[in-house]
Amino acid sequence: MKTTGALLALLLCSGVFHATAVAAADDDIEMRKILKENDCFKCHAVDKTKKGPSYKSIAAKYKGKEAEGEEKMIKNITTGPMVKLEDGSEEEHKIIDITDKQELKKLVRWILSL
Amino acid sequence: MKQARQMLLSACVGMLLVSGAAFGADEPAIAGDTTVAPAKAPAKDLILKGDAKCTGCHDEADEPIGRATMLELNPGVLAIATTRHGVKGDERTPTCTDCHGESKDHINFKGKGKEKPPAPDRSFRKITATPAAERNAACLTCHKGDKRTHWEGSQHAANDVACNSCHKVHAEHDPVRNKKTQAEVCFTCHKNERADTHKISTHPLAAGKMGCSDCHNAHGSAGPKLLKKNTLNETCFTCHAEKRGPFLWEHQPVTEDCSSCHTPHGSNITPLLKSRAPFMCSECHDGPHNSDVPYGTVAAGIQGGYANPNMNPTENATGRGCMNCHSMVHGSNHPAGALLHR
Repeated sequence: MKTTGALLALLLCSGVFHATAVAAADDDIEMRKILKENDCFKCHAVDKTKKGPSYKSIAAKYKGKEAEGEEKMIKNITTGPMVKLEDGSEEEHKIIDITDKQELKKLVRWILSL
Repeated sequence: MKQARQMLLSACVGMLLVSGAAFGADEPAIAGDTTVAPAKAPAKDLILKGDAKCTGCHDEADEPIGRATMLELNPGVLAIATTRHGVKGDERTPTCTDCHGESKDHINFKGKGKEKPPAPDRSFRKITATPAAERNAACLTCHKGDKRTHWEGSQHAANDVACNSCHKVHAEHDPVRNKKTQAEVCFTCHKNERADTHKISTHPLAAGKMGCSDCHNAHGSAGPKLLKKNTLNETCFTCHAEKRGPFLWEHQPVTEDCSSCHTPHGSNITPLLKSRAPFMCSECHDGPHNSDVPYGTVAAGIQGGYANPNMNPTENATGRGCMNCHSMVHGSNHPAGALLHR
């Protein structure tokens, strides 16, 4: 009886784990779609240096100082300051077509989670 | 009870495996994500000489994310590497700007958010401001002459059909260059012909044994209907050589025009006939045993109980299936084949 109870608990846990995994994959696709629609992938890639740094290197740069990273990234994508490109030249950062603060935070947190 | 426990255990294991796979698939669509380039490396050509100015932005990221929609099924830019246009060893191989133009406005565009840059100087999308003649000129720079000698003035050129209306230049497999898939490309516009090929008698297009280009040269021709040869008969005889002759006894319409009796794309009367015998034959042959003539009173002859033993049934009644007797309808070489009987 005890074993059956334990198994039921395990089934419940694995169900929760499964739902979380599916939600994470959905989130991943949704974020990538937003980035693609806004042509972010023209200069950035997830883990390849293009005109701009890869998202993974940005995440690594701000590891442990996520709040600072979040603030700086939101500033970059909403105000369009001059940024230094990988080849040394400078260019105005593109302004993203999202105004909702929560959505912006969700996006940059996803990048920082990479 | 034991069975129930086993079932529960397998359900848990299954669920965990599926979840693990979902976590593992966290980078679903961007193939290039696996290649990590050294930081601060200057943009390098990915495929073609001098393509860095284009592939700096247009790389794997142009591929659809998640499940592709109908609008995203076009091959990505980098797929050019899988085609003949991506063969670097061939010095004639063009680079992006040879076909798309220098496109300075496109390259130097600085926009915000979802603002899109202006199209390249020559855009080959289905909906584009680049006129068909200009798009074609880009291809004809190299692909001039040979089968395209008669392109200028051809029906397709006159109707603003562009090379990219039929060809997918960036795709590894261009459907129009494969006999099995070619007809569907042509049928996009030629819908009556698609319907005809679904009739009982047809050329083996659906079986993939031949393509439209076995008879037609879509790039222009000196013959009618963009046929490969100068005349219809000449085109048909490339396969149906046994009908060409010369014959001792010729059937005039065969030497004149196959389409006097046949229709090429499909018919419900085998073999690809325009009408059924005897009606089709009667259009020219109005005697002596033409089936349009009334039978008269001795229709069944002796077989019908008629008294005279020399009286055969009327020819009008027997003349229903002309080709039953005139089997050599395309011509005969038999000394006694004047009536194309043998």
